Amino acid sequence: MTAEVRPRITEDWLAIIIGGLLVLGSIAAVLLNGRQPQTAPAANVQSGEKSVSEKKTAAWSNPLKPYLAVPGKWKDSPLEGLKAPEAILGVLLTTVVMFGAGISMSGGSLSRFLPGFLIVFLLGTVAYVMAEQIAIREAGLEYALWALLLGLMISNTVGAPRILKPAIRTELYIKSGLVLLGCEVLLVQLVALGLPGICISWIVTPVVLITTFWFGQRILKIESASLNMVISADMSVCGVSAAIATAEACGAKKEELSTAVGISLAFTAVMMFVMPNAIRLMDLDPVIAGAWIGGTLDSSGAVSVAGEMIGKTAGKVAVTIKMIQNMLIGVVAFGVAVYWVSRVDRDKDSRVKPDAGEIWRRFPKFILGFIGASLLISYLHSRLPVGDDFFKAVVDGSTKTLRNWCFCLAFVSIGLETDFRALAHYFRGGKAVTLYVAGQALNLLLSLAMSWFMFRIVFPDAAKVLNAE
Amino acid sequence: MQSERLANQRLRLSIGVGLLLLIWLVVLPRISQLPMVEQWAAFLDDRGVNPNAKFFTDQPAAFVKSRQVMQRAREHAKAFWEPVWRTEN
Repeated sequence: MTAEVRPRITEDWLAIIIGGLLVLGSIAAVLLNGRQPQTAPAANVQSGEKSVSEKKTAAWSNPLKPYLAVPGKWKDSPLEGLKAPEAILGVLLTTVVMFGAGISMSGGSLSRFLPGFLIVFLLGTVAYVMAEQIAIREAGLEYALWALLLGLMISNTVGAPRILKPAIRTELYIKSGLVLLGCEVLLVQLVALGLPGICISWIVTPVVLITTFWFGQRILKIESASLNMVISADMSVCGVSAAIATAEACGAKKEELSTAVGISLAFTAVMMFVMPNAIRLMDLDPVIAGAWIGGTLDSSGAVSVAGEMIGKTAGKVAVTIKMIQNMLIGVVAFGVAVYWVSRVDRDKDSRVKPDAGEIWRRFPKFILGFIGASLLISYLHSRLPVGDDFFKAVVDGSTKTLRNWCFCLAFVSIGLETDFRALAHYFRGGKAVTLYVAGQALNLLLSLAMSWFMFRIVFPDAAKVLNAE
Repeated sequence: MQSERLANQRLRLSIGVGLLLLIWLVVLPRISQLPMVEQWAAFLDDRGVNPNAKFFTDQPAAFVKSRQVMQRAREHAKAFWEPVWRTEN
């Protein structure tokens, strides 16, 4: 009998260390670089905010930005999207060092990890290039789908080669990416749209989430509570990012995450074109329309597309509502994790409630990394001069890019580990799709009602101010 | 028997890869040249919209747009924080 080798460090703490070091490294790079004198107008002039940016004499910049990138969009040849190969190599080097060190720390073999990781990274790059082809990109079919597809294609034909196995570390990539995502959540954004924004984003969303979960458990009687929760969060909060965070918080299976992401991407691609047309038929006020779109559509990309199809005001309100809703990811992941370890996961035979120590033992600790990163960036944003510039330099320059790569590697890994038959099992009977459709119907109704109530009845002057731009 | 199965698996993978190459290198570039697709891409580019964005920070123009809204909300704090029945009194 061989004793099971216990890793020296748990994956959650490893993700906190990797994600945390990347966040701290990015912040340190921006701080050490200092504020650089600007010789050209800031980027936001292009978007019409002249008065703010032309006054600036010095802005924060990230020296890491030229060395970290994702493939760009292309039309005729994939090479058009790979114009900065050194920046892709920069990401490869960073991820090899960080994850390689992490694997060593947890007692894994670096020499077995590296060859597999290079192939997983290559597959991730191909998935990214596929997503950036203009016809695919403009339809909102993001890299998660193609990463999953490439992985599935390999695992369901020749099977994932043995050399890849040590590098298939889905959980580690996702959790590290989520810690990096925390760095993109600024607490001050909660008040961006005053009380109407908070009510639309932070009242409707939890109500829809809880009701959909209840509906799935009690009415549809979905076998897997975690699948139910991931679909509910994906649909009510903000699509793929929320699905990833919630799946980790409730320990959902990889196939369950893939199912939720697949359903969400398919419905969002349709809804982002249907909703603006429905809004035109209903002749809605642009502010109410924007708030409805922002509160309902799953992904930020789809929200922007649908909002801009209505007009500039609707576009601005839609992305602002979505941004406030995005902030719920941490709260939802924390709440789901606590609910899961204290209620769902507890030993079914035991009637004794788990004590605080037991809850802490089971709690997915990476969420603390997410919250910590958010608190740190929010603190620095409030204390440093030109905090907005600082935030943009850190996020746009490095953490956002690395977060997207972590998620891309995770979806390649999920595909490589997934059997088509296991995936088909979740679609059988149509319960997962029914849950999504029912939840989204409720979301559409409540978001519209709340947007109308807020901007027509309670804060009509706010709608007038926004419409007057 | 096993080598036949392996050959079959490799054939399926090759067909899949071939199909992807055909779609991405031949079909999609042609679709991208359709006037409708070009106009749509230009419309989104003009507005700084990335339809593939997962999070709001993935949107090139989202930060600026939300800041403009935030600025308006700050300038007209009463309109955004006090219900209409309180401002009427």
